[in-house]
Amino acid sequence: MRNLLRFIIRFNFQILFMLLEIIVLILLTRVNPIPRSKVFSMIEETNSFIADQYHRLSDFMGLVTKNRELILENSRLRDRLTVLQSDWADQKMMKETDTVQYRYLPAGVVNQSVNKPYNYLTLNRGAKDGIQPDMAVIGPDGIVGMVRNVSPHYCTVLSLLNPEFRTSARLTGTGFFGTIQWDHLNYREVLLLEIPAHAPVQIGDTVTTSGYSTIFPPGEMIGVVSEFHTISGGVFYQIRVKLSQDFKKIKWVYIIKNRFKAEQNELEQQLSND
Amino acid sequence: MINTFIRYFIRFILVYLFQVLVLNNMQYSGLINPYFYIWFILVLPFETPGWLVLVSAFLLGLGIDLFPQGISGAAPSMGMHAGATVLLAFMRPMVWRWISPGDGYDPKTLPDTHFYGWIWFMSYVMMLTLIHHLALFLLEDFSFHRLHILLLRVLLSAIFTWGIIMLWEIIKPGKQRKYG
Repeated sequence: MRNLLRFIIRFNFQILFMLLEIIVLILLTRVNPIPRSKVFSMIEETNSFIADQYHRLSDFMGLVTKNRELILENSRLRDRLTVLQSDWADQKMMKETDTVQYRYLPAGVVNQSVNKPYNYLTLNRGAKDGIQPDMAVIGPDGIVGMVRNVSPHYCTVLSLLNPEFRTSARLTGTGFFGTIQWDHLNYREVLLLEIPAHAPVQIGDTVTTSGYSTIFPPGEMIGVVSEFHTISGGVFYQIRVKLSQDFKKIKWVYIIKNRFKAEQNELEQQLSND
Repeated sequence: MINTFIRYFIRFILVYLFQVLVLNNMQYSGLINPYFYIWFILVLPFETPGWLVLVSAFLLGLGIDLFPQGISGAAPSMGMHAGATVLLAFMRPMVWRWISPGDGYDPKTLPDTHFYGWIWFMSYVMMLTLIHHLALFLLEDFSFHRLHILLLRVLLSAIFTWGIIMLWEIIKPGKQRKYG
């Protein structure tokens, strides 16, 4: 007992220091809920941090090999691409020989504008490849526009970045659909209009084509919701959609032919004739 | 003796108010926030009992922790200033030993430029400021995740704290020959 007392007096500075720091740790872990969870995840986090750094290092060390592999793969794919392109042209794939509704024809972009108020593209496919006005055009990452005029070897495309272009689009997951339209502001964003204000919209929701037109097949990617607010007295949303397709990077696109379009239009025409 | 106590108590209040009302409200950059209040602990007399230094460090730090951090302030970690300042008080005698001048310390003196010169004072303040700020930002973040940002914050804030303490050492009124 006496020894203990002597110990406490001898080391009162150290003991008091530890006591106070224990009080601090209790405060840090009890008073704020956030640091408490942090304390328990600290070891885990440190571990994953080290693992992450290690992976980055090993990735970096392997870059030379990786690069060589990618160059080889690239050249292999380029070879196959040229073969396929000539195949497509030769076979006249647009011939209506089977029951597939949508046919995809690859096309190269030979000219395009992005920064003008009304933007167009020119593609290296024309009437000789079976291209007709109002065919849909999509890029690798999302929809691009629709064919406006056709010459024997070329066609012009009304870009999505053109206020004259409109198409029906669906908010994936909710089922609500509205109209896509460009508002001149930004070549990375379009507006999605006519979504009712009771629809559950969230930033990051994907927007795809609805299929309610005879041009675009359903489910083609357009972009993701980046911002939204209500207009028209709170009845509708005005949604800004960040395009998934970067229009400044387009080199190749696909022209889509809806082979049942004439049939659908004819049938719907009968309704208005009645 | 009582006089000295009251003098240091008033100094405690003034340092506290200067820190929470002036320094904490200055926006230099997200990386820089000077903590001048540690000056109070740094210049406590050599012969102050250890337990008193620890307790006043704890109370001063806790006071800074408890003060609302203003509109922009993210939720502070309750106890981070108390923890860092108690550590500073604990390390104070150790740092004295590390940088002890040839003929040691006279218990009747103060740890300041008047008794031990600028070189000694500058290194003394720099070491303890770095220890305090490192502990403070570690307690705030509770992670080593963005270690380089954390070290940058420690370094920049420490330089500012150190600079203000040096500035105060130059302009402080009335050279005290000895305390009490």
